[in-house]
Order: sequence, then structure tokens, then C-alpha cells
Amino acid sequence: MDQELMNRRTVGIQAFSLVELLVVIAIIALLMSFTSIAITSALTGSEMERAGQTVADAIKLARQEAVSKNREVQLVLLEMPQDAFPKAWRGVEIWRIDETVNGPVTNKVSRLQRLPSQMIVSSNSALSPLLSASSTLQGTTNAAGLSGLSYRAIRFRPDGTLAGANGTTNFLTIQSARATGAPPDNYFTVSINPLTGKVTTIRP
Amino acid sequence: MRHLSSRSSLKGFALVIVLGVIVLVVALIIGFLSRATTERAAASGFTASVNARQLGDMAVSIVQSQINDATTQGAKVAWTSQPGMIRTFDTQGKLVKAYKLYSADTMISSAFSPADDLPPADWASTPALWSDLNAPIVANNTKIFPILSPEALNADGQLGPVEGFSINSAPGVTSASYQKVPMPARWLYILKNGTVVVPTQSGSNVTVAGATTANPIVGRVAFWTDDETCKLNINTAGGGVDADDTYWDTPRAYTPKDVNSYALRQPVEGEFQRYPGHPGTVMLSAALPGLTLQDYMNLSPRLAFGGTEGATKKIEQATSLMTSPMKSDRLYSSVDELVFTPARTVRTNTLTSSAVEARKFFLTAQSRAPEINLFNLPRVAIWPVYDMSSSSWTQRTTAFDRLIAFCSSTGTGSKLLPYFFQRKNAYNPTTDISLQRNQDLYKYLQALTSEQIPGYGGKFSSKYGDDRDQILMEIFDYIRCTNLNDDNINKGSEYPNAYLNDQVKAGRYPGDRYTSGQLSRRDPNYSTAVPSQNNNISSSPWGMGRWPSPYEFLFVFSSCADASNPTSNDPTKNVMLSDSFELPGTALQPGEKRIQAAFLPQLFCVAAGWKQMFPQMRMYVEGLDSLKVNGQSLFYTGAKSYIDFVETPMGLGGGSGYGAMFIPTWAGQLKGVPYPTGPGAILESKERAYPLISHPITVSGNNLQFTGGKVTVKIFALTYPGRTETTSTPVQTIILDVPNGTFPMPKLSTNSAGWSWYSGGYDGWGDSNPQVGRMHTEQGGLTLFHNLKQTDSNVADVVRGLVIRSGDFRLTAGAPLIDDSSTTSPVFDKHPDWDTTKMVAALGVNMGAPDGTGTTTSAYADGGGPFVSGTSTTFQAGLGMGYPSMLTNATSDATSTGDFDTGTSIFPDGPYINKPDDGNNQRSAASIAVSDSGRQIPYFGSYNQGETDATFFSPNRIMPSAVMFGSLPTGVKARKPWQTLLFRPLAKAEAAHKGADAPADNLLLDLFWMPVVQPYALSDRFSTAGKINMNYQIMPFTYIERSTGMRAVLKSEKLTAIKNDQRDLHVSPWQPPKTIGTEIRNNLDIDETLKQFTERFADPTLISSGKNIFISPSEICNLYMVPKGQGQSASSMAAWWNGYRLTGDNLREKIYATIYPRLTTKSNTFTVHFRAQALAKATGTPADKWQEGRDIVAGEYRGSTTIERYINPDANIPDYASASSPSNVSQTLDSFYKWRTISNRQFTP
Repeated sequence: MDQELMNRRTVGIQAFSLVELLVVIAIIALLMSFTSIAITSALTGSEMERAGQTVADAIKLARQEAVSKNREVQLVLLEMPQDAFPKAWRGVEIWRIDETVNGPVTNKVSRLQRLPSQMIVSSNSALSPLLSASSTLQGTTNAAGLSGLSYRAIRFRPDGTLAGANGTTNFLTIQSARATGAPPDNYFTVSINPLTGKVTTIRP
Repeated sequence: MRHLSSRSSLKGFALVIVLGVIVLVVALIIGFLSRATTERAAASGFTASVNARQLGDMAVSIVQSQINDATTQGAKVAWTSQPGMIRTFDTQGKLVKAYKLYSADTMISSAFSPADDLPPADWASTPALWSDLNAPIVANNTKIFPILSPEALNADGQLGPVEGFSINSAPGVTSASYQKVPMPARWLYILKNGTVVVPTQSGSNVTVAGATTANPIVGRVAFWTDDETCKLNINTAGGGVDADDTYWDTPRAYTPKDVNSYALRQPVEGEFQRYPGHPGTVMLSAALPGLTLQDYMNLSPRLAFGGTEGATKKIEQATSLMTSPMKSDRLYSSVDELVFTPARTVRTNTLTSSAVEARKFFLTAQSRAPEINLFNLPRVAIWPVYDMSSSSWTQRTTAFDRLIAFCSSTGTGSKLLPYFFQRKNAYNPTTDISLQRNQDLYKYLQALTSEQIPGYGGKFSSKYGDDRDQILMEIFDYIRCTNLNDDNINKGSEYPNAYLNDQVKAGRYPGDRYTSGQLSRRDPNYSTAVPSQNNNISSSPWGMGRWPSPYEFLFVFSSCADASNPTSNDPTKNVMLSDSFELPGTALQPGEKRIQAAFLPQLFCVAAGWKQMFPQMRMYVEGLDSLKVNGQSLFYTGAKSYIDFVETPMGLGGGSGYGAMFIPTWAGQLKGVPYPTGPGAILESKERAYPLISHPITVSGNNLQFTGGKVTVKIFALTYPGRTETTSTPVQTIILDVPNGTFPMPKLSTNSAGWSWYSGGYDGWGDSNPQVGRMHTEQGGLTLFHNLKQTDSNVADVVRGLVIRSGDFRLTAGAPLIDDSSTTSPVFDKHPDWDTTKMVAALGVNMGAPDGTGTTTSAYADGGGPFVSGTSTTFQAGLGMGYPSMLTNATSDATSTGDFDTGTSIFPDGPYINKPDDGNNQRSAASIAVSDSGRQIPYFGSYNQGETDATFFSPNRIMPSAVMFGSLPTGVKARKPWQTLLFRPLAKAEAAHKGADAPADNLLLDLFWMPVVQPYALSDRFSTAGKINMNYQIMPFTYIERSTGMRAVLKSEKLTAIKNDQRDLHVSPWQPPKTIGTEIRNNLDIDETLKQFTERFADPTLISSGKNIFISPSEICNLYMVPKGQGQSASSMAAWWNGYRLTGDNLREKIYATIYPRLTTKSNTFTVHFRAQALAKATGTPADKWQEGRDIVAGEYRGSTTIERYINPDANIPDYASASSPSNVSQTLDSFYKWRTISNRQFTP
């Protein structure tokens, strides 16, 4: 019995005390509070990275499509709603202008890609001058079951060059829909060399 | 249990961790793959684009191989190009093959069937078979076309619609069509192993034979090749609004127009847009209408607005207008550059980018045509170059000469093989032609003219016999005698002249314009060359040289005294009554008369024109002692005399007066002809003496019984100042068989000065400076004939002449030997009126016989009948219309062929050889006006007779093309007068012309070329930039007309035509110019003229034989140029010319002489327009099928590549000239062409 008691006592000694637990919980809570801030920040950054890369990749693909098919190809940004967020430039498509004997016909090369939920292409003309460049086409279209969506089409010539743009109007900025400031604290810029179509990304 | 429970929870946590890690990894993989897919798609697209581009290169390679194949069929197959096609023809003139330069089901066919490749109307519904190469792309809401924009049909700002462009019934096109100018070409499918397959079936699904899973379809290509020579070259073309802006011609008539526009406003140095026949005269306005001359000059990189500024400014003496500014802007490398100025600023008010874009189908920055003949061998350049073996070659040649030499040679250094004639000695008939290379080239031309001509058939040797050699020799000498004095040669040098060697020294008259040692027109032997003689071949042909040749030998019988006239029969005054020429003589008995005779050879130079010539020649006359009158010798036994003809210019302003071109009457050289020293003495042969005068004899009765004999005339050239004969054998020997005759008795002249030929006259004995007789004075005071007017009741002299009855002196000019001593048909035959009782019955032509008043003797000569007799119109030759107005045969013969030349400015018409205009820029007043006397006007004056300013004239102003040979006679050996090379269509009333017999004379032109070396080296080795292809029909897109290039050529030209009643063209320059009614130069009705092209292209018979094309550009000479505003068409022109037969052969061919050098039928520069697609088969589709819309077009490349053939200067090309049989060489010049890529352009609007 004594031995058994001893054993029990030993077990009892090994368990955490309430204080210990509270301290540990407090520490964990403290740590978690720190971590959640970092995780939130990391998630946002990851989304921005994904969004930026999505746009950059789409641009590359559009340019290559233009070159390989010898057609004008347009990178189309769609103004779409997202959950509780208001409409913003968050949809991406690639359109190819095929010439037929009856005139040009627009064919979609890729399916709609949405930017991660919080990410948008800034509509601020200072941050995304390419959206409002004179060479960028504007209109409305249907996509994802939605109609009347505004779009902006950035045009690539068959030689891969960016139509109409120059060295000061050749970039787009991706940012969080919630972000404020111009530029906001965190953003992702996609720049296109108008002469070569080469894409450069900048993330401060 | 507790322990167990704890371990269990730990396990669960591990699962969570594992799952979490898995989720994380999957997310990473998905992200990675997502990017990789995009990258892969981009990489795949890049691969496809590269493949497509390579397929485009394949199209270019196919075209290159087609061209190579077509152009290397040997010397017996001719080729000709047009947009989309090259055709070859054999020596029977039959089509050999048609090489298509567009994608077609049969790329090489032995029959020409244009309908096979004409796209069907439903081509658009068969996308697997046809591809529209001209499908537009919309950019900035504007349709941009890769090849041809229909916007060229419309005006654009200042610019009007392009001339000569239309679209007629394009396949499948309606007014509602989006694409108005489709250019569909067949797809050719490419298999993996490189096989090119023509698909079968139609619609969207086609079968591609040979395609398998292992050798799948990897691509397809459609292409069409444009011929750049059908476009206007923006580097070379210029011109103005129309011909009124820039046209220039040597003045042909003394009219206000000729004086104002051509004499006083001739193009200055550097005003290339006005050089006749220069590529700079091709008018940009055909493609860019609506601008001004200055605008066009501003567009041109090398042509400048200056000088006469389009004949609006008069060239004054020593003004800044004497040269046009030389531009050195960088040449355009592409048409697009037109929108920028040389300062790289955008042109503001002339050309917009849209206008240039719409006109790119009509413009080019690179076009070049080969200068090879129908045998695919080198053409011979028609510019003479000094003997290359000379140590002073560089001093005796200009930069132009040397560039021409480069362009028309093969090889370099010791392997250099010239294809141009060289010259060395102007005063030896055999030196130049005996130069080995000249011999080689002569034999080369002989060989080529002995062969059936590829593309046409026929041999010139068969057509002309011995005259073939003669024609070639005439051509040689014509070239040799071009540019006899080049003012561009270094001034003050020991070699002031390119050619005339050391026997010509400058400074004979240092007071003339050129005081720096440069040769002057008054320096002896200026601008002359003796005729060449080719004794190396059996037919011994000769050239014409630039040298006087006798056309007539006159015997003038004059009365010295008459017993019935006491004044004349006064032995104390009339020394002619004394045999010893001493006073007193012996008075005549009643019934007796004292007469004297003179022998007057008359000279003529068929190479009339500028510059003025100054021959130094000696004429020996032997055998005059055999001639008798009433049994008495006229000239004493042993008479062998010579006369020197020196220091007297022939030509305008010469001693024989204005109207007496090339008729030396010894004026200016005779200082005085003294009495002989006694009976039997002959006059000393020396300078300024005239020994060919008989002693006076006493006769009686009413007639002279004349006994003829053999008289030999030998002509030598003389050196200066040594005055030695340049050769031991004569330049020309003429043996006359002077016939007997019974002539009227001459009467005493009403002027006693005419009673003696000696300068002492009848009453000048003892006078130290006698100036009485017919040859009494030094300068122009000769009165060789007295009372010569046939209708004059006082007619005194009796003149009998041995004449060339045909009047065509070209048949004898330069002939080394004319021996009439033993023939029944002498060359120098007695005048038709020799045996009549007419006093004056011998002056075969009315030129050059001044009557002492400074005017010609047209009113005095016998005849003066109609020059051209038409069926309905007869008109009188006007002043100076001397040749060949006198002899009935001559007029009818000249009329029947029209092969006489119109004289220039005030010169009479006659049997000339259309010498190139070496230039005349003389002016004697600082300011000249049309109202001034003609002597102060270039081409009309005499003060400085024909001088040019240094550098004012240069090769490409002087010699436009070989059409200049058109007045060379072709019947010399056959003694067929008034028959010259035929480079023009005939008038209806003109007889059939030998020149038109097969092979047509114009094919001779194809053997020659004139390199263009100004304003920059437009010519390269056997090629010239800026020529326009006559074959503008576009294969297979025949519904598109693009005649813009031809229009650009034709709109710079004027057709010269002189009406049958416009006979006062050559009035005296002492009078104001005369308005002669209708302007003789007419702009062209280009629409009507070009109908001859379109009718040929569309002629069903010609189409069936594949000959609805021009094989040689010389065929332009067969086409009528239709004058504007005359209501004529090409078909009516033959009849129209009936009313304009006073137009000389040289003028009728002049327009061809300047059009021809700008035309070609072969191109070196092509642009391949293509569409290439990289293909991939969709899963589940048959390997040998292509299913449009289902199978995958992985990549596409549209664009164009401009390629050019060229000859490497270092190429080891054989010597065709010395080949025993040039037409049998294994490798023609075409075999040595290489390719260079001028530009690659992707169609990326």
C-alpha cells in the first residue's frame, strides 16, 4: 500500500498545478496573440504574392499567346464583387483577337481567374496607370454568371510589345482591398516593358 | 490505462500534424504546378512561335529555290519576272516553264494557266485550303493590311488616290465585305520530315498525303512574292507633278518653247530629276499625288530642289543656279521612314503615317534589276572608258568613268574582265578596235547576234548578213565617239581630255573661257575622232567616227572672160587672159571664152551635234590632170595636191555660216589663193591655200565637152601643231570615176570679182594684198558661186556634181575605201541633171553653199521639192530642210521609212546618227532672254560655240540608253539607204521596215546597258536600282492592277511630233524664235498608252502560249506612246503618225531612249509575304487529315522577307567575251548570283 501510495504521490507530484497551468496558458495565449498577428500578416502577404504572380503570369501568357499566334491578345481585368467587398478589379482573363474574313472575333484563351479574396488591382490611376491608359480598351462583358461587368483590356501586339503604353503608364498595382494610402503600406507592382513586353515585379 | 490514454492523445496530435503538413505540401505543390502550367503554356507558345517563324523561312527558301531554278537554265533560256511568277522561254520563243513564286498546287508548270491559281469565290469557306495573306488586323480601330490597303484608293489629306491602282472583281468580295482586297494563297502543309504537301479535298477537312503518326503534320505555310521592281523606289525616284515640271530635251527647233524651257532652263549639274532617262525622273507623284516638286525633292534623300527649280528659273551665266545642291542624306532603309525628315522629325504637312501605310504596296526602298541580256550573260556598257592598261588611266578617267567600269566588269584585280569598250587613240582608225578586250567584246557581240535569241528566236546574223558586223562596228564607234571631250577631267593637266590624246593641246586660244589649261572648243582636233576600221574580220566593217566625210564632189565651171564683154577681155587688166598670169595677157578672139574650173569636195559629218568639232584633216586629190574640156587638160599633168582643213570648226558658227552645218567651204582657212607662178605650175599645198583650181583655158561654142577620168581622194587626220598625218594609210580613200558630159557654157558673172578664183581676181595683179577673186579673204568672204540661182536669167556658173543619189550619207561616212572606178553602180554617181542643159544641175543638197550673203543657198539649189510626200499631204521643206530635199529618190526613200534625223535647234534635218548631246552651255551675255539673238542662247548661239561648263555634263545626262543607236544605218553593206535601226513603231504610211523583221531590231538593245552612277552608285555589278518592271500584272491576283510604276515612268515623258506643215523649225538664229503653231511636245495619255499593256496581259492567244508578258524591256519600242489631248488611242496612232512625218527618226525614238533605261523585265529584289502556322494534331483525329477548328494551330507567324540577288565582286566568273561560244557556257552569269536578306518584317500592327 505504501508503495502504491508512494506511486500515487509521485504521480500527483508530476501533474501541473493550477498555477502552473494558468501560467502556461497565459504564456501560450501571449505567444498565440503574437503568432496570430504574424500569421495574419503572413496570410495577407501570401495572398498578395499570389495575386501579383497571377497577374504577372497572365501577362506573360498573354504576351506569349500574342507572339505565338500572331494575333493581338488582351489581358482583361474584370471589375467583380467578392463576398462582402465592393466591386473591384479582381478578375483576370486573356482574350485573343482572331481575324476572320468577316472581321475580328474575340476568343477567350483562358478561364476566369479571381485574385485572392482580399486582393484587387488598384483603381488608383497613379498606382495603376495602365488601367486607364489610352491604349487600354474599356467595356462591359459577362463572366462567371455575372453580366455587365466592366473590363479593361490591356493589348499585346503580335510581336509581344505592349500597345500604346510608354515608360510612365506601363504598370499595375495589386493591393489589399482594405488597404488605405497611396501607395498603401503593402503592395505588389507589375510593370511591363512596353517595347519588349517583359514583365517585372516589384514588391517593397 | 491512464498511461495508455495519454499515448492515444499524442497519436491523434501527430495525425493532425501530419495532415497539416500534407495540406501545406499540397498547397505548395498546387501553387508550384499552377505557376508551372502557366510557364509551360508560355514556353509551349514560344516553341510554336519559333516553329512558325521557321516555317516562314521555309517559304522564303522555296521562293529562292524557285528563282534560282528559273534563272539558271543556261544561255538558251530567257527568263522574265513579274509579281508572283518567273517564266522562262526557249530559243524558239516558246514558254518553257512558269515558276510560281506563291504557294500553289503546282509550283512549276510547263503551261501557263492563270485560272488555276486564281482563288475561287468561296475561298473563305475552305480555310484548310486557302489563307488570306492580306487579312487585316484591327489596331486602334483601324484595319491594318500586311500587303495592300484599299485605302490607297482614297485621298489622304494632301495626297490623292494612288495612280494606276484598282481592284476589279476580287474573288468573293461584295460591297458589304469586310475584306475588300483578299489575297488568298493555298496552304502548303509541312510534315515533320520536311515534306511539303499540297492538301486535297476542300472545306475545313483536307487530306494531307503522307502524314502519319510518326511523321505528323507540323505546320503549313501560304506565301506570295512581290516583285519590288514594280514599285517606286523612294531612294532613286523623284520627278515632279508631271512632265511639265521636269521634262528636258535638247532643243530641237527654234521656237520660244525650246528656247525658254530647254535652252535657257536646261538642267544644271545635280538636277538629276531632269536628266533624260535618269531614274530620278521616275515620278513619285504616281504613288503620292498631290504634292509639289519641292515636296518630292524634300522626300528624296539624294535629289534636291535647286538649279532651275523645275524649269522655272533661267540659267544665267556665273550664277548660283549653275549647280543644284548635292544632298547626302542617308538612304531610306524602309518605306516607313518616309514619315520622318532626315533630322528625324515627323513630316508635318506632307505625309502622314497612315498615308505611307496605305501606299506601301506601291513604294519600296530597295529595288534592283539585273543588267543581263536574254542569254543571261553580261550586257555591254555603252559608255567609253579610257584604255585601262594605260599608266595614266586615273588621270584620263573621271570618278564616273571608273564607277561605270566597276559596274560593268566581273572579277577584281588581275581577274577583272571589263564588259565595256575602251579607247586610246582618236586619230587612228584601227588602234581602238584592235585593243584585245575590244576585240573580245566585239566577237562576243558577234557570237550573241549569231545565235537564236532566247525568248524570241531568230538571228541577227541571218537577218542582216555582213551588215550585222557593220552594225556592231557602228555601235562600237558610236560609243567610242561619245563624250569626246570631258570637262570633268582634271583641269590644267597634261591630259585635259579623256581621250583625244596628246595630239590635242589645250590653250590654242587662251583667251577663251577656259584659261586654266582646259581644252577649249577652239583647240584643234577638239571633239573629233576618225572612224574605226575593223580589219580583223573578213567583212571589214567600219564605224562612223566623228569625222567629216565627203558627200559630194563639185566641179564648178566659171567664166573668166568673154570676147563679147570688152571689160573682161581687157588683156591689160584681166590677168586670167594670161597663161603665165602676167599682164598683159592675150585678148580673146570673137566667139571665144576663157573658163576656169574648181574642184570642190563637200564634207559632211553624220555625228552632228554638240560639242562643236574642230577636225584637223588633209585631203589628197590625185588624177585631176586626166580631166579635160574640149580636149584640153584643166589641171596640169602630175597634179597631185592636197588641201589641209585645219583650224576651222565645223558646226554651228563655223566658217560656212549658220545654215551650213558641217559644210566646210574653206572659209576661215584661206588667207588668199595666189596666182600660180606660171604655165603648168600648180599651187603649193599648204595651209590656207587651195590648189584644186584649174588653169584658165580658152574655149568656144555653146557647150563644154567634158572628159572625165579617175580621181582619187585620200583623207588623213593630222596632228596638231605638227600637222603630220596620224597614220600612213588614209582614213578614207575615194576613187571617183568622173563621167564625161556635155555641159552648157558658163557665163560671166555680173560681178567681176567672180571672174577669177584667185584672190588677185581679174584685176588684182601686183596687189600685195589682193582681195578680189572668189577666194579672196580670210574670214567668210568667200563667194564660191556666182549667179547660181537656177531661175536667174543671169545664171553664170555651171556646176556639176558627183553625188550620193540616195542622200543618205551615213552609208559612206567612215567607209575606208569607196572605189567607183570599176562599177556600174557607183556610190558617187553623177547628179540626175548632169547631162541636161541646166546651168546649175549638180548641187545635190542645198547646204553649205554660201552665196556670199551669209545665207544658205536653199533658194539657189536645184529642186527644193517636197521632203516628205504623203498620199494626201505634200509639204515643202523649210529653211534648212536640206537633206535630202533635192533628189527624188532620196525624198521617197527617206519618206518611206522615216529614217532621217531632225536637226537640233537651228540645224537642218538630215542623215545623222543621233549623236549624244555632249552639252552646250554657252552664253555670251550675263543675262539672256528669249528675245535675244539666238547667238547668245545655248544650243543656238555661235559666240562660244558649244562650250560646256566643267561638270555641267556627266555620263547620265549625256547617254541615256542604247536606243540612242537608233539612227545607225543597217544597210551600209547592202547599200540600202534610209534604213536605220528601228526602235519605234511605224506610221501607217511607212513601208514595211526591215528592222521589224524577226528578230526585231529592238532586241539588240538587250545586249547593252548604261550604268547609272549619279547621284550615287545606283548601279552595282550588272544591276541598277530603281528600274520599273513592265510586267506589272500580279499573278495570281490578276484582279489587282498596279500600273503605278509604269505611270511614274510615263508621266515624266513628252512625245515629240512635228506636223507635216511645221517646216519652219530651224529658222535662222539671227531672227527671234518663231512660233510654229502647235507645240511639238505632248504629254502622254497614259491610260491609252497602258492599254497596250493590259490588252497584252489579257490577250487569250498570248495567255494560252504563256507569252502575255514582256520578255525584254526593249519591247517598249514596239508600243505607241499616245499623246494627251489628241483624242487618240494606241490603235489609231499608226494613222496619226501619217500627219507627223516631219518628225525625224531620232525624235520618234527619243522618248523610247529615255523610257527604256528605266524599265526592266527582270528583278533582283523580291519580297516574300507569308503566313506560317505551327500545327498540332488534336487527340483522336486521323493523322493524314487536317480538321480545321479541331486540330490545333499552335503558333502563327505573319510577315515578309525582302531578299535580293547580287553578284559578289570577287566571284570567279568565267570570261564570256573570250569564250568560243558564249551561248554554250555551262554557267551563265545568273549562276553566280548570291542572296542577301534585305529585311525581315513581322506583321505586327
